[in-house]
Amino acid sequence: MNFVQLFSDYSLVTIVSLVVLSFVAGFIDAVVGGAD
Amino acid sequence: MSGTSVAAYQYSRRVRFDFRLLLVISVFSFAASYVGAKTVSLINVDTLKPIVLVILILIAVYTFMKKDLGSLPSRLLSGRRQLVFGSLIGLVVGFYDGFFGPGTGSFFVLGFVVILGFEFLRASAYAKIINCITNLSALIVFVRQGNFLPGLALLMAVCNVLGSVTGSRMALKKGNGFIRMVFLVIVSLMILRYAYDIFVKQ
Repeated sequence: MNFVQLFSDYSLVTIVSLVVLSFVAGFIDAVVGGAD
Repeated sequence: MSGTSVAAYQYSRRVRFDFRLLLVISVFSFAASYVGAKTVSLINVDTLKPIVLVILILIAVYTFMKKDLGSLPSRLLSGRRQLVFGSLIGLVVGFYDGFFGPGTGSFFVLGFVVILGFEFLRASAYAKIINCITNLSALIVFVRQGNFLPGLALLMAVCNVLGSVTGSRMALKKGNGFIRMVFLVIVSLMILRYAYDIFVKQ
């Protein structure tokens, strides 16, 4: 598991999108349990 | 899953759980979810999407019209009846979870509020625990199948926990009105998603 390798395996746009989506999913899930 | 666990822990400090009820709902939900997942291969999912769309619209209208929905606990059912109706909610929503998936938590929340008489905060806390259990089973299956990317998973788990902590703190601070509002937004987004699938994508 190497975080530096993440940036060579995936584009920056992909990583940022996943980061934002994870945060939003966590937020929604915490409030209404509706992200899943 | 990581975020849900953290949120469940945060809610557990404010909400007292009836662990017998929680266990019964989880067991029925878990079993029904498995049956639902198996049924997907037998029925064309697209044919049922219009039904889900109508149900979602009815839920949105009902929640919007009933301004006081879930703002106060309304203990409508006795302990035994809670177990019976909780099992039914577990069966129906669990099956939906295995079959369709999106918005399962919201359906649990609404079921707990409307049928069991919970306020939104308690309903949301219960939904989180059950979600956590069903997600754990899915995670075990994925890891065993080798469909797991540790680096990406850890990064997303950290962000998920941050979102979860932010969301649960806001929910606990602002209360049932805030949860009801977010619930309506999520149901509305799901209506748009299903409408898009039915009318535009097909």
